[in-house]
Amino acid sequence: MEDIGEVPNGEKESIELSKKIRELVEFPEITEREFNELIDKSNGSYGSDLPHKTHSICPETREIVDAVIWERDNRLWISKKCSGEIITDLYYEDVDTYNRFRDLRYDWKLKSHNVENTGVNCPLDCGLCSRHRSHTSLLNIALTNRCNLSCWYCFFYAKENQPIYEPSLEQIRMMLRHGKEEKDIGANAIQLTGGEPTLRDDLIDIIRVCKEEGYSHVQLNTDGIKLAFEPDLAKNVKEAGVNTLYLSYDGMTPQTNWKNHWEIPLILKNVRKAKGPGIVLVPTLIRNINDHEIGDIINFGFNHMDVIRSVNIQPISLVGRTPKKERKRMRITGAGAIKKIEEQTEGAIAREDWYPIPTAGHIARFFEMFLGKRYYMTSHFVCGAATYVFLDDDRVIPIPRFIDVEGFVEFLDEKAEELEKSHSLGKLAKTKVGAELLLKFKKFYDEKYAPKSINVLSLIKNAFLKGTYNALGEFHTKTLFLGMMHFMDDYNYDIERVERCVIHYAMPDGRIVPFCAFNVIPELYRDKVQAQFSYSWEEWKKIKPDWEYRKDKYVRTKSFIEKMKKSEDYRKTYIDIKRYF
Amino acid sequence: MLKRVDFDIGDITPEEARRIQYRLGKDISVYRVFIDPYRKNGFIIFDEEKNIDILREIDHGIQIKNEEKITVEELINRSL
Repeated sequence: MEDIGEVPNGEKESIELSKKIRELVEFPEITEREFNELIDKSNGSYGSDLPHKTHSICPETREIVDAVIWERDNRLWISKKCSGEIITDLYYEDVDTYNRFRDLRYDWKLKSHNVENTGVNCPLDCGLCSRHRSHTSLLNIALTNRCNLSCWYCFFYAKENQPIYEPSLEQIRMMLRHGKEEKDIGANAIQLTGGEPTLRDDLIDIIRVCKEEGYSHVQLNTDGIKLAFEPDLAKNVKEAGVNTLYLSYDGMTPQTNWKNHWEIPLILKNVRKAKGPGIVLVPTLIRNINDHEIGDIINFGFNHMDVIRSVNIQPISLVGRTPKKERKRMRITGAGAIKKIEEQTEGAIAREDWYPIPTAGHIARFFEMFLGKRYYMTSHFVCGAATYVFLDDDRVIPIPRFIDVEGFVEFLDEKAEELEKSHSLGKLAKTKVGAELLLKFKKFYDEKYAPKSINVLSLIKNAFLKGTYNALGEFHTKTLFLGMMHFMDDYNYDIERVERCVIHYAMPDGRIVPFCAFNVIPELYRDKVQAQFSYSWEEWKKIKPDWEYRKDKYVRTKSFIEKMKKSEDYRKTYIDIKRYF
Repeated sequence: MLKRVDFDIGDITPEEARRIQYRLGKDISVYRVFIDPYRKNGFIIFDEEKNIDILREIDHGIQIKNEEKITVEELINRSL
């Protein structure tokens, strides 16, 4: 019998899932007069009260236009006037969370720039210009536009006969060096992405180059297919220096996770065998498609904490032109995802358990004074959120349940101010501050609600006082890190957010560009620069005479699915798992 | 080989500057472009084989101040 198979592309699954509409976001309509009144009432300083004035981009003309963020029915909306029409989209889904996060904002200023543009034409002026307010917390390098899947919505991967983008080892080294050269804080974390980066034959060499160039954290963004079928790949990338597999994982069923549902058991098995790298599950969250499974995805993470370190949720970025009808059906924001998690975990992980990414800026400020280590994560407070969750036997305990995070951050701010005044610290003074920190930390720590099976105080002491990457790693093995990063699109674009972006792309033309400029304005950045530095199909075939397009593609056969359904690996991965909520 | 052209520019609104910069920025032969509507100046770096007529493309009373040839490698190194 013929074993029929196909390259996963998600089209059938998406059509099927789109038929079940559970909820629609009702976008408010406002008139031009109401829009102008909101603009008149609004304040444009970062973190000001609502309505708040910002700037956005017109999806049609790409003009930079005034925009206003305003509140109605406990939701925040962003409105802008483009070509005579008022366009409104959902900005954030909870005013209380927005206000709490806003109070924890942290601003910074980059001191080196890799373009001469001043930013007056932001976001048309990228690389990192004198207006940019964050250093690179995570530097992305796209290694290829070849991919083993053929996702129906993806504009990025190379179709047959199209140019191939694949920077050389020398170009990659140059991009890494540019990240390190940022003043006064160089990049220290790199994400190798694509296309599908595991298709590169020289992946191991590339990872080694990342380590040679001094990157402590190397993350591989992958669909995991190769890791499933090449048992030694996890071990090889780990040994070369990959710390984290940033693994696409969109749901709990073959429909919601059509990319790698059947392969995940093999990926986990191979990573387990190799004892790493740690896995970050990355669900792209879409309303009415997989938002009902987010609690189960987190539960899945808790069940495999020996290999899964984190779940990093990405509410969908509706790239390209998306009709309002589709936006009403699919749009979800960071705050919306947090609410869904609260509902689906029955309050075990509540909205108060989350903190905005720039909270890390307050902590970094203190440790810069104390340890001389500097790594600020000063994104806009709406861009991302995070929390750590302990698993205490069968009990799920988010860290803010037993640590007063706001109180502790306030204390660190006060201490940082004191330290800044005293200029330099001698060894004795540092020890004194360290002792005081530990003593005072107990004030913010509630033993009654803390996990009983883990010595959290000792873990935190190690992570904070050693301040080393390894100490952080030890902390990560005992917790599930939940993260959220909402990348923007044409409709919710907020230039205040781009100015503070911490996740950047290095480009082969020497520039480093914020994620939401690179991907939302591809005609200036991603697509254009990759076209400038691509091989034509003919050139590529000449360099790689044995290469065949179809051999890159992963064909999932019916017999493989049947085999997996009956396998012990599948049962252990999906069926024999606990419910923690 | 790339060509860098620095120029002064006459009256131009920020909207016009962005519109022109965006149009030029999309061109695959352009590697860098900046038009500052406040300081009334700018520059463009492009593949000289494409022979972009800057005077015609930008208009707005443009006056070329300087022209130089640079390689892609030099451009990349200057971006450090």
